[in-house]
Amino acid sequence: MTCRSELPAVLERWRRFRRALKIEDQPAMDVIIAALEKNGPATFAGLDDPLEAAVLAVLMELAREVEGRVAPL
Amino acid sequence: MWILDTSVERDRVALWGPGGAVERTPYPPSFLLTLSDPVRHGNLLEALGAEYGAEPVTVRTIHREQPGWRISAGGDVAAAVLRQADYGAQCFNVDVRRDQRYLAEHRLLPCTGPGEERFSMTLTQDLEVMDLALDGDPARSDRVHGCTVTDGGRTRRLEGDEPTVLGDLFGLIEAVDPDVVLFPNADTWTERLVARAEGYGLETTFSRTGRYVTLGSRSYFSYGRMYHRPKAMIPAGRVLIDTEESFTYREGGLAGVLVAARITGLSPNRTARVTPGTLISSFEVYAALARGIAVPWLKADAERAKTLAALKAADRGGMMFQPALGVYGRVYQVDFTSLYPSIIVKHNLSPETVEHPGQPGFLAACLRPLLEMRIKTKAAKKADPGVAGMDSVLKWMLVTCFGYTGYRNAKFGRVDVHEAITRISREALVSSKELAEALGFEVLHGITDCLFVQGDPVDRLKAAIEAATGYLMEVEAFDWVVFLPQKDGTGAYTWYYGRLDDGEVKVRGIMARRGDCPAYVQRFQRDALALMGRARSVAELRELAPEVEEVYRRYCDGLATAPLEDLEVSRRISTVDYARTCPERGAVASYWRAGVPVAPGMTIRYVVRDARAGLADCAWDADHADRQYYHRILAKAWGEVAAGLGRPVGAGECAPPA
Repeated sequence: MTCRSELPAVLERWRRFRRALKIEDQPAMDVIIAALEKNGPATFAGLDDPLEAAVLAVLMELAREVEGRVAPL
Repeated sequence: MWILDTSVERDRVALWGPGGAVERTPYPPSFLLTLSDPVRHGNLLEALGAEYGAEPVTVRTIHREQPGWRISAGGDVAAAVLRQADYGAQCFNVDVRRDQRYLAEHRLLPCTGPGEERFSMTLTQDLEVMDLALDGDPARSDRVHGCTVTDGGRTRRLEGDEPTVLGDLFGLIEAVDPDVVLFPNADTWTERLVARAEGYGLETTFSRTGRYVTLGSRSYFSYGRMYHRPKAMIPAGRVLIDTEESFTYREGGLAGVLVAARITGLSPNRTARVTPGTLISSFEVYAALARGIAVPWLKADAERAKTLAALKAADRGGMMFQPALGVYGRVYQVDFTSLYPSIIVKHNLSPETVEHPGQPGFLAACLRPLLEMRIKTKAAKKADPGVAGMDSVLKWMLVTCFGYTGYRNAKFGRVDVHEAITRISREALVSSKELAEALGFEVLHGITDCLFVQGDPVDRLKAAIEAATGYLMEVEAFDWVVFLPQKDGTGAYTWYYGRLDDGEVKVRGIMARRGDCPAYVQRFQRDALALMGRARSVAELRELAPEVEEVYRRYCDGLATAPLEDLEVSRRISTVDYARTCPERGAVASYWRAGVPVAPGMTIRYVVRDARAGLADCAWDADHADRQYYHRILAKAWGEVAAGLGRPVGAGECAPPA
C-alpha cells in the first residue's frame, strides 16, 4: 500500500504553514514546497509513510543540489 | 416590580422586590414532549393525560416545529417517560429553572426598572446594602466571637459570646432589612450559622422567608484547572453574596452580579454563585424561552461520525506565531475585540445552520445584542469606571460562549460550530499577519486574536485589518516590551511585560501576577517593575539596570527577617493525593492534622518549613520558614526582571542565605 493519496493533503498543510511563517522565512519554505511538488509524486507512490515520503522528497532535491547535478531551485 | 430575587415555592413562583415586597403566582411544573411514533406510544400518552394532563401543542426547537404535548408534571415524570418510551421520546424544558422560565415566558427581567432594558448599562434602583465580616477563619471550627457590620455609611462592632453576637447580628439584619448582604466567605459560614442559631433558639434572618435552598459543594475541572465550590445556602427575598468565593462578584462587583441577572434571567443570588459558563448557557436558555423555542433536555444532535482525516483537519485550535525572545522598543499590540463571538454573529453560526446555512441562526441572533453591549461597555468603561464590572462579566460570558459551542451537553452547542469558529479565526489572524507584513510591519508575536507588531503608522494597519476581515480591533502601544522564555528556552505566548505609552506597566504570566507567589516576592517584582516603568525606551531601561539590581539586593538581604505572613503561599490545589514529596503535600497533611478538611480545587495557605523534606505548615500555625527555598523563588522572580534589563541568565543573582 502506498500513501499516494495523501500527497495533496500534505502539500496543502505545508502551504498553510508557509502562510503562517514570517515573511523573511517564506522563501525558504517555497524551496521546500517546490521540492515536494517535484519529487513527491515518486516518493509518495513508492512508500507507505507520508512523513518518510515527504522528507525523502525534500532530501533528494537537496542532495542533488549538493552534487551539483541540478541547478538550485 | 423591580425584581431583586426569585424563588420557587412548591407550585408557585415568588418574585421579590426591594424592601421585602413579594408577589406569588401559581406556576406548577410542566414539560414538553414529542414522540417519534405517537401511535405506538398511544397508551403512554393516554396514561399521562389521565394522570397529569397532556395538552396538544406545537413544539418549536431551533431545528424544526413538530406536534407534541405539554405534560403538567416535573422532571421525575419526564425521566420515567423517556425510559418507558424506550427513548422514542424527547422531552423539553425539563431542567430549566422554573423561576427563570416563568420570567422568560412573561417577558420579565430581574433587576430592570422602567426605561431600562435587557442590554442597557444603567442601574438606577437604590438598594439597601449591608457589608458584613465575621472575625476568624471560616475553614477552622472556632466559635463566632465578633463581627463588623456596615450599612448606610455606619459601621458597628458586635462582640461577645457566640449566642450574643449571633442574636445581635440577626436582630440587626431584621431591623435594617437590607436588600443585599455582602459577606466574605458567606457560603462557608452560613451553614454553620444556621445550625448554631437553631441550637440557641435564634432565627437566622438572611432569608426573608426563614427558608434556604441548599446548593451542594463540588470540585470541578474547568479550562485545565481544578476548582471547588463550597456548599451554599441560598436565602429567599434577599441577595447574599460571598464576596470571597463569587467569581461574578470578584470580576464585576455588585453591578456585575445585577447586570448578569438582568441578561440571564437568573436571580442575583444565582448569578453570584455560578460560573461564566452557566451564565452564558442560562443567557441562551432565557433567549430561547422568550422566543418560544423549547430547550432540549437530553440533546439528540451530537457530533456526526467523521473520518479520521476529517477530524484531524477540523479539530484544531487557534493560531499562534511563536514570539521572538527579548526586549523590543515601540511595539503595538493589535487585538480583535471579542473575536470568537464576532465570528459566530458575522457568519451566522448556530447548530441548525450547519446544515441550513441560509436560515437565521439562533446562536448568532441571541449573541448579537450581547456582543453589541460589550462593545459599548468596553468603550464606556474608560470614562466611567462604574461600567468596568459589567464589562468584565460580559467579557467572561463571551469568552466562554465559544467553549460552550463544543461542549457535548450544551443546550445549543455543536462541535461543528466550534470547529468553524477556530477555522475562521485562524484565517483572520494569518491574513492580518500578511496584511501587516505587506504594509511593512514586522510581526513579533501573535496568538489567537492578537498580534504584536513593530512599525508605523499603526492606525493604517488597524483600518486595513478591520476593512479586510470585518472585525473590530483595538490597539495598545508599548514603549518597550519583554517577551520571556518558557522552560524549553523558546518564547512563551502569554509571558511578557512592558510599559504602555500611558506609563502603566502591563504584565502577563509573570510571578507578580501569580496568586501562588508569596507576597514578599510579588512586592519585589512590583517595586522593580515600577522602577522600570520610568524608562520610556529600551536604552533608558538599560540605564536603570544598576538601580533595579539594588532593589533585588535589598529584598535578598531582607529575606532573612521577612515576616512569615509575607512568605505565605496561597495555592489552589488540584489533588489531595500527591505522589511525590513537595511542599503542597506537606501543606495538605498539615491541614488534615489541624482538623480542616480539604478538597481538590480549594485554596490552601501555607508556609514552607523544609522544601526538600516536603514540609509545610498551615499559614496560621507557621513559626518557621525555609529561607533558602524562598530565596530560590526570589531569584526566579529576579530572572524575569533581569531579562528586561538585557542581563544574561543568572547575572546579578545574590547568594542564598546561610
